[in-house]
Amino acid sequence: MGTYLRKYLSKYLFFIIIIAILLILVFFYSATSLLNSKKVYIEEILSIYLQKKVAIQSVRYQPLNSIVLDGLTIVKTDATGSEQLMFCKKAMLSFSLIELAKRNLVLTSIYLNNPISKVVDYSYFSKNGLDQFIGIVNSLLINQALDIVIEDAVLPLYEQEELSDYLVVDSKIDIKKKGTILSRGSIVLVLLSEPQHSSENKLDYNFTGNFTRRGVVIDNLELQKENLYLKSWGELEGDFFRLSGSIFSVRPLGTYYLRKPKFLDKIEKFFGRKEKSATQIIIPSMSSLNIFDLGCLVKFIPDGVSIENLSFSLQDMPFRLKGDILFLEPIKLNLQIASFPSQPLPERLQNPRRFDLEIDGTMEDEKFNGRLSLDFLAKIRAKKSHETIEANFRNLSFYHLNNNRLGLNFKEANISCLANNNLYSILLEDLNALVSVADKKSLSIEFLSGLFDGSMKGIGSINFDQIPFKSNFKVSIIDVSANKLSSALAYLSKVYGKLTSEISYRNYSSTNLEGSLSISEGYLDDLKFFGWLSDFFSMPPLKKLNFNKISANFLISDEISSLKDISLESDDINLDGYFNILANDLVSGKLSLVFSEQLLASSAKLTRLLRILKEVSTVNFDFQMSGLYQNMNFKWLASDFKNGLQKLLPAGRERNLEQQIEEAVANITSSME
Amino acid sequence: MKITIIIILTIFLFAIDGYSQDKELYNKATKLARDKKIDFAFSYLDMVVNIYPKSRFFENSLFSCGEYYFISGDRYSAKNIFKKFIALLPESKAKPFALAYLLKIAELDKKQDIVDNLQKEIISFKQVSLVFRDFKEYSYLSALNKEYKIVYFIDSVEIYIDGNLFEKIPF
Repeated sequence: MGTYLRKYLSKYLFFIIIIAILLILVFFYSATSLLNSKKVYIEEILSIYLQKKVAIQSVRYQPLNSIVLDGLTIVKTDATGSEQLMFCKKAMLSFSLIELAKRNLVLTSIYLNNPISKVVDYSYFSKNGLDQFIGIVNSLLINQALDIVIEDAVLPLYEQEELSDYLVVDSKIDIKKKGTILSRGSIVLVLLSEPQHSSENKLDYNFTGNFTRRGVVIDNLELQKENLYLKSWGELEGDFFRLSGSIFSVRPLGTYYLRKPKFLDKIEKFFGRKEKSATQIIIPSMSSLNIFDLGCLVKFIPDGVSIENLSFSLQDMPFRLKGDILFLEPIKLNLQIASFPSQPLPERLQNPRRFDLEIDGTMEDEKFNGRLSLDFLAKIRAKKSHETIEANFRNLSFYHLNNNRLGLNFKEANISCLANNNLYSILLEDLNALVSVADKKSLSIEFLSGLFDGSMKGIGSINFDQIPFKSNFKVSIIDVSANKLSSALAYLSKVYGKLTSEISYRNYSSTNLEGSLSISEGYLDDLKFFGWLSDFFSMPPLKKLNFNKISANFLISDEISSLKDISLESDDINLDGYFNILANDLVSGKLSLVFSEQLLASSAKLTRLLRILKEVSTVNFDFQMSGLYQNMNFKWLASDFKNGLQKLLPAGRERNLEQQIEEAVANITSSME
Repeated sequence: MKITIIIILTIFLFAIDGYSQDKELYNKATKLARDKKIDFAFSYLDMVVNIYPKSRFFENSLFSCGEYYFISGDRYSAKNIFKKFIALLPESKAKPFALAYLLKIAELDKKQDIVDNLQKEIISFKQVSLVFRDFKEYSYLSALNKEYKIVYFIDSVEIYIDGNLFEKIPF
């Protein structure tokens, strides 16, 4: 009996299950068919909510309370036409079963799988975009809780025909009924040049806050990357965004909480007092660069953002950034960055660590055209001087290569430096540079550029481990017309020939610039010193002195500026010597000048003189200089020619000649200022 | 008319009298200095400095007051006098010697930055061109009868007082 009953019941149970499954399948199919028949209606509702046109490929029912939209497309339509904003492979909307039973359609969760943004429109970061965002949030989230999960969202970094450089976003957003938001997720940077996703390119975030009518209150925003940790809080209200916090270059050594003992919490709770939140203490690692006292106030304006104030302290240096970014075509930038911004002006102008950097230009087709200007206090030979370096760029662009390398190039840059009311400038053309980030604390640079009618190439590195940054460079200048460089070095204004130079620079442990230069196959055009010699000895060839080569080694440091191993080789004259200027502006130098027989033959004065000075076969002038640079002392050193001449001259004539030379020296040295 | 002439004559007599007095004091001082009585010489020179600041003997008197304080060991007063001398009489031919005294005082007080600045001032006081000579020298005789000499070589400056080397500044 029992067996028969069990058999009978199993048979029926089996049929009931089959029928139930069939009914469920029928229900699924019917529901899906029904939903697909209402696809247009669903598209209209979503379009109203999102304030954009929505199109769906197909709709299906997913038990128990979800509908899946396959091939969801959001399109922007305006007077110029329509443009696809986003495509989502799969979107799932879940509804409250309880509210459904009451015939209310209340959304409880949204799941987006691989939504892909089709446009790059940074104007969403303007007032208009912000107003739209707040409008959507207010219309969607009035008094309702919602969970949003986004997987593999793709945001291109710039307009691309084929997707190559983009962000991948994974995010979970939990919105409570009272507008509280909890969100966690990650953002990964994907570059064509780095097909393997590196953990270095991943940024994790953690957010808690509250939606309000006019924006969002940010209770906590944390960002974490391999070598970056940001802890912040703030609010977005109306047109203004405020943020405060700190950034650490490594994860803090630890965080711990200061709390009262738990039994006190329980007592307070018993009396109905709200539980006090924990006080979190972060212990930063002081071995790396950290940013403290971060304060940010940004105003969203119709076409972009105005950074009213972005202030922070990097180690012990305070900084402030202000400016505007307009998301037009082209994008317009105007930014000012200053160190020690709040220091009283007289002290600030004497502060060797203060600088003012201004960036003003446009970005179009990933190229920057505009001006960079840096104003700072330089210390040269124990003297401080205000200097401004300005660079005007045409078509400056960056591009990413592989293995932590970045490329940089520009069509043209006019770089000038104003120091002590003297203006120095150079023109670089078609520069190409490679920047490598070796170990995150330093970068190395290699570059090649046109420089006037020649070229310049170099290699160097900058270490960011401490402020000021340590840097060193080696630069070669190749076959540039010396005269063209007179805009950078005024002394070259009367020098013609092809200049080649090797320069080495470093700024630690002290500033040091040294190297060598040579100028070949050129001439000196009426240099004051040679002009005087020419008049004095009636030697016209000295006014325009052709030479085979001029060379020298140079050194500029905090203690000394020196030219050594000076050599001039020409058919008419040979010159060699050295010249130094010390930190206190005192000079020392020796020059030796030998005239060729050919040159001597061109001077009637010297020819007569040499006939009298039978024992003298060569005419050489050896000089020594000393004293203050602006007021140099001069001595004619002994030589056979000088001794012979002195014996010939009567006393009165000797004094006369001395006076003439004194006047000439005073004249020449005063023109060297 | 008569009254005008009397007034003019009175002023003239007073002027001559004033002019004579500072010269008389100065001459007394130099005579005493030659007799090696520098303390008494100083007192007359001090009177010239304080009573006749516009006198033509003011320059030499002021310099010698500084000299006296230095010789007496009062470096503080000497420093003040020589600073005043340089400020009031920047074109004086005794200026390099006043600078030399200030340099010596700074060296004794171990104030290196002041020493460096004073050395630079002395070096740059004269621009010299040595064509047929190896040095140029300039001399000065003070009211206390001391012979000062400054010798400019191409790479150094030497200052002598009564033939003795007082300072040497190489550069």
